[in-house]
Formats: sequence, C-alpha cells, structure tokens
Amino acid sequence: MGAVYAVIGVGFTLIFGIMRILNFAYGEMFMIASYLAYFGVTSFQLPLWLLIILAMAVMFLIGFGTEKALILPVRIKLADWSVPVILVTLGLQIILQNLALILGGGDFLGIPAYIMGSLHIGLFSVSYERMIIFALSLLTLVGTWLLINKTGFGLALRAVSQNRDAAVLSGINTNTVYAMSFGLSGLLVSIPGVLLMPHLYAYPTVGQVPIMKAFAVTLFGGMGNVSGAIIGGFILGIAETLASAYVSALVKDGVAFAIMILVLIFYPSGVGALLTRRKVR
Amino acid sequence: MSAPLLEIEGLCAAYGDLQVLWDVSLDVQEREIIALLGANGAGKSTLLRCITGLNAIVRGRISLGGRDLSELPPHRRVKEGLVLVPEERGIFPDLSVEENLKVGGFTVAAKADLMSAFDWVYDLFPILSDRRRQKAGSLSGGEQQMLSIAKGLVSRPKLLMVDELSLGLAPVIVLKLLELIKRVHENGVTMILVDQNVEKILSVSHRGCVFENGRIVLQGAAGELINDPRTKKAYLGR
Repeated sequence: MGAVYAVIGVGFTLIFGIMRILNFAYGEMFMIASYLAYFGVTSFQLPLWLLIILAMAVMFLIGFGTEKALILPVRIKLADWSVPVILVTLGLQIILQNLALILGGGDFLGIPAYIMGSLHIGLFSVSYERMIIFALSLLTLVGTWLLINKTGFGLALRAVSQNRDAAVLSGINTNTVYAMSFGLSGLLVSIPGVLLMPHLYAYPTVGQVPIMKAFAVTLFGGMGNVSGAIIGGFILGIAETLASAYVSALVKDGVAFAIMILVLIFYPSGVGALLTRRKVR
Repeated sequence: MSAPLLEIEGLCAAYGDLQVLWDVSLDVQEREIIALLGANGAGKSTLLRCITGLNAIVRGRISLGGRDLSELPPHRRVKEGLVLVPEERGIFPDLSVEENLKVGGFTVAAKADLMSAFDWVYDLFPILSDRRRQKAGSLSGGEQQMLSIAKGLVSRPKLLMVDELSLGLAPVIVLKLLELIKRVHENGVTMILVDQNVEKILSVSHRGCVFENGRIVLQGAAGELINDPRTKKAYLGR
C-alpha cells in the first residue's frame, strides 16, 4: 500500500511544487478514475491493463483540459493567482462530487477484485492483486522519476518549480508546463484510482480519504518535494499496517491524520527537506 | 548607419496605478554596449522587464530587428535573440550548474549548437566547468553571477541585457566580470548593462543613458557622461 500512497502523494505534491496550488479536486480525479474502472469492468469487461491505459489517457486529458479551461482564465487575469485557483479547485470538487451523485447514484459500486487468487510461499500468502498493485505503483514511481530527472520536459518542470520568472526568461512556456503538469497529475492519480477500486469502491466521495492521505504524504515529504512524497507514501503504508496490526484496523485511516499533525508540529517544512539538506552537506 | 537592433519609442509603463516609466525612447545599435544609469527606483530595471515582456506596457512600442515585440509573449523572445540576466540572477538553485545551462539552452534546437555553446561558455568561465555538477545554490555570489550570465549566453543572444552586474560582489570579481563582458562583446553580442557602479560600467560601454524618476534625463557617449556633473546629480540629487 505504501507504493500506492506514494503515487497518490506524488501527483498531489507535483502540482504544488510547480504551480504552488493545492488541487482540491484531486480526490475527485481519483473518484472519476474509480468510476471509469468500474464501468470499464462491468459494462465492457475490459482487462486491467487496458483499464489503466484508458484511465491514464482520459485523466490526462481531463487534467490538461481543466487547467486550460478553468485555471488558465484565472491565471491570465490575476497576477497573484495562487489562492483564487485553489478556490476554483474547491468549487470543482463540489461540482464533480454532485455530478457523480446525479449521474452514478450514491451507491457504492465495486467488484471483488481484478484478479483472484494468491501466491502461497510457506507460511505467507500474498494476493496476486496486491502484488500487481505494488508492482504497477513502483513502475509508476520509477517512470515518474525518470520523466522528471532525465527528460527535457522534466527539466522544464523542475525549472518552473524553482524559479518561474527565470524559466520564462529561458524560453519555457509556462502555460504549457502548467497544463501538462495538471494532466500528469491526473494521469498519476488515475492509476491508484483504478487499482484501488475493488478495495475502496466507486462512489461520489470516495476521493476524500485518498486526498487526505495525499496531503499527509505531501506534508511529510515537504510541499513540492517529489522524493519526499515517495518516502512519505511508503512510511504511511508501513505505519498504517503496523497500526492496524497492533492497535485496531479501525484506526488505519487515522494514521494519516496523526502523521500530518506530528509533521506540522515537529517538521513543518517536511522530513524530505531535512533529508536533502543532509545530502548537500 | 544601419537600422538599430532595438528601438524603444514613447514607452510608458506602470505597476497598477503607479506609473514608473514616462515616455522613454531609446535606440540601440548592433554591437553597441549601452549603460543604463540612475538611482534605485529610477526605472532602469522596469525598462528591461518591459523589453522582455515580463512587465506590461501601458503605451509605446518596442521593436527588435524591426519587429514589434508586443506580438511575442515573453518566452518567445528568447528565440529572437533577446536575453535578460535579471537582478535576482535568475538561476535555479536546486539544479546543477550544467542543468542550469541546459535550461538556458532550452530554445536551442540542434544538439551540436548546444554543445558548442557549452564549450564557449565553459571557456569563458572555467570555474563553472569545474563546478558543473554542483547545485547552483551552493555557489558563491560571484560564481552565481557568472552562472547567470553563462546561462544567458548559451542561446547565443543577439542582445544581452544584464541588470545589476556588480550587486553584492567584491570589486575584484566585478573587474573580472567586466573583462568577460568585453570578451563576450567581441563575439558580436549587443548589450544593455544596468548598474549602480557608474564609473566601472561606463568604462566598458559606448553610450550611456541616465534615468531619473522614470525618464531619461541624459544621454551621450560614455566618455562624456563620466565627466558630466549632471550624471552624478541624477544619483545624488545635487
């Protein structure tokens, strides 16, 4: 689960790092992906790999389109657009949730699993599904890392997140970068959205818990710090498992909140920031 | 005389309701080095920002090579050969020196051109070559300034504008930078230099423009301006 949380966190922190906004509609992007997955499986009997590819493509377009259609107009009009844009995403969140309610109904839609069965090794058994979730999440994280650190586009992303004016002065089109990042964020969150559908079900407010965890992971790793978010995701996963094993399964979701509170009290700028500082020295 | 590289006519600019540039007109010929002088807040940096498009213009016209720049958004002007090295240096602290240069060369299409530009820049600034894998934020002030100029040169600009070259730097380093500026100029780059350090900047420039309260109050050959008492007056008010 840690890997999945990492992916969710990365998508969220990416937008903050590049655009300095909190995308409140992020949970709803997760929700849309879940619905897409549900209908893809039940109405069209699509296999998992196809579901994921379709979800990534659709969510990328939705993210890209949202930025161009809803956020760009605000950015053009106001020099200091951070807060207004956050409000736009907040409004979008409400609209999307209600839209889902109207179109899909309030029912919890779900399927038992994409792939049944488990692997038995001696005393341990791991469900195939969990293994796939882990593997795909890991793949996503590696892919994202490569994109950010080894491509020209990734360089542009990092430049814009560090010094926006300087990036413009170097010839980078920030409008393109923003729209692409938003699309990328949607693409990233669609993967957990699809993978976790059997586990969390598809319903209008399914995105609320994931976005909380995304927030926790983001805070932990430092706002905008992608590697921090990755580490945070894994730690959250481990912490949750430990908590549900030693305390009670009911507190699992609460672990994210606990982490958030601890981080804000002790390491407000995020643990990720501490780690990078140590590296430089 | 051939057509000027940069023409500014009747430029007025404002920050919100506060007008900061009043009817500024200036021509820059190819291969010239022009110094913009004046006290803090006189409008020099604002003018540079207007030329790059980072600041909106209220009235007036800016043309580069005869082409009206208002058609071009800021990020497109780099490709036309217009580069600004801003006062805040404009480097990317968490990127390495080499990555900073890569960003500087973002608009360069051909890899070969980029590589030869890197060679040129590393030759001008050998320290950057030594530190090429280091994070830009860990460089000293003088090195960061060199990086910001180097980054601007990678795209082989026609017009290089440098805002406050000497800010916060030791005189020894400033002299070194001025030497490098002269070397860059020999490669055919036209320059606009803004600086507080009147004498040093005029020593490498052909012409100078003195700004006061958003207007050009004095223009002339560098050699004349150095001795003109009105130059000092614009800074000190007497």
